[in-house]
Amino acid sequence: MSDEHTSGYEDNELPEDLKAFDAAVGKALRESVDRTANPELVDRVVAASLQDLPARTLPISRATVSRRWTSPQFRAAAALLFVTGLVLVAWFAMNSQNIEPVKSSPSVVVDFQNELGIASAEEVILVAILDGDGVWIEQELLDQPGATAAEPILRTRGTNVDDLADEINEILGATS
Amino acid sequence: MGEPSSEHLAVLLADASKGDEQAWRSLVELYLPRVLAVVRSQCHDHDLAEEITQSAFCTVVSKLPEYDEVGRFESWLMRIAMNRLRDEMRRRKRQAMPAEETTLIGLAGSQSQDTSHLPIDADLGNLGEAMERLSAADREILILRHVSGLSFKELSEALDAPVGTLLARHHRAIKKLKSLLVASENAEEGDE
Repeated sequence: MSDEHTSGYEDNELPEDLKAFDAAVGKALRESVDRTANPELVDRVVAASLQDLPARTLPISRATVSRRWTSPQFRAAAALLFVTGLVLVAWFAMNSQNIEPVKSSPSVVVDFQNELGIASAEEVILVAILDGDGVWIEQELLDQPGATAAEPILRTRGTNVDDLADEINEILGATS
Repeated sequence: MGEPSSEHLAVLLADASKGDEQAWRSLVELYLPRVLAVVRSQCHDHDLAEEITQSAFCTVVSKLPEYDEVGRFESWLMRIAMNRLRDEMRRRKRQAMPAEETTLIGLAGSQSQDTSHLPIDADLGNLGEAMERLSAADREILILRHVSGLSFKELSEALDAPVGTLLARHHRAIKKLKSLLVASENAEEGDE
């Protein structure tokens, strides 16, 4: 430091006989001060100033990201999970087409009849099949020409197979 | 701890700027004693001197990336410490009775000649004894000039004192010190 220290010296401030003495005094004082260092104070100052050390305010670097999250095994598991999710979504989408349709409300069937005017035999049969409780089908529908096809269905409403056992045996006996 | 070379200082500053804690600690170890000595010589309050020293280093560490004058790091550090000290002394002065002199040197000169705050160890021998016999103002200008590493112009700005005043005080102090040492040596020769 001595060179930098004396380089800041104003040359006209001291006579020549004092310049050397002044330099020697300065050197001795600096060395004396350096010997009075306080380790505890150094620790306190370092601890207080570390939070402002430049790199500590930077964003987290890549090196701090756990390698566990970048390993090939983790990537494979994530890919498998993703594919499984896609398969499940596709399966549910496909199976939603096989789900029994919700019964149409009676008002929809009546509106359908009103719009078309004449209900076909198939339509009457369909309504008869769906209307297990006899709630939907109306007299107006039964008056349609195609209603005769629905008679067997309407007659069996409320009955089960056991009740029809005699009729079925008669039919089978007639055909055998 | 000795004076670091320019190259070593440059490496420490570069590493500390990148967050190297050990490099920063090395810088603190190198320069804390001198900053503390200079501040203590001015404020006569050990606790305040430590507080201001710590504040100065905290300011320096946050400005490290902006600093690019390797050869003047100590001067830069001392200027920050002196500015901190000046601001604190002004604040205390505003809260206390007005003094006759407004400069830090003036306040120091008005204090009692207490040497306990001066960082002079026994190894200085005759020089240490002679320093103790100087007035407080004379001791302080010598410590300020030689330990801070600041030029008289920089000291003038830091202390709000005219350069001429500081030059005159320094001249007087060094003359007195030399005469004391010469007298001490003559006395020793006379005893032999």
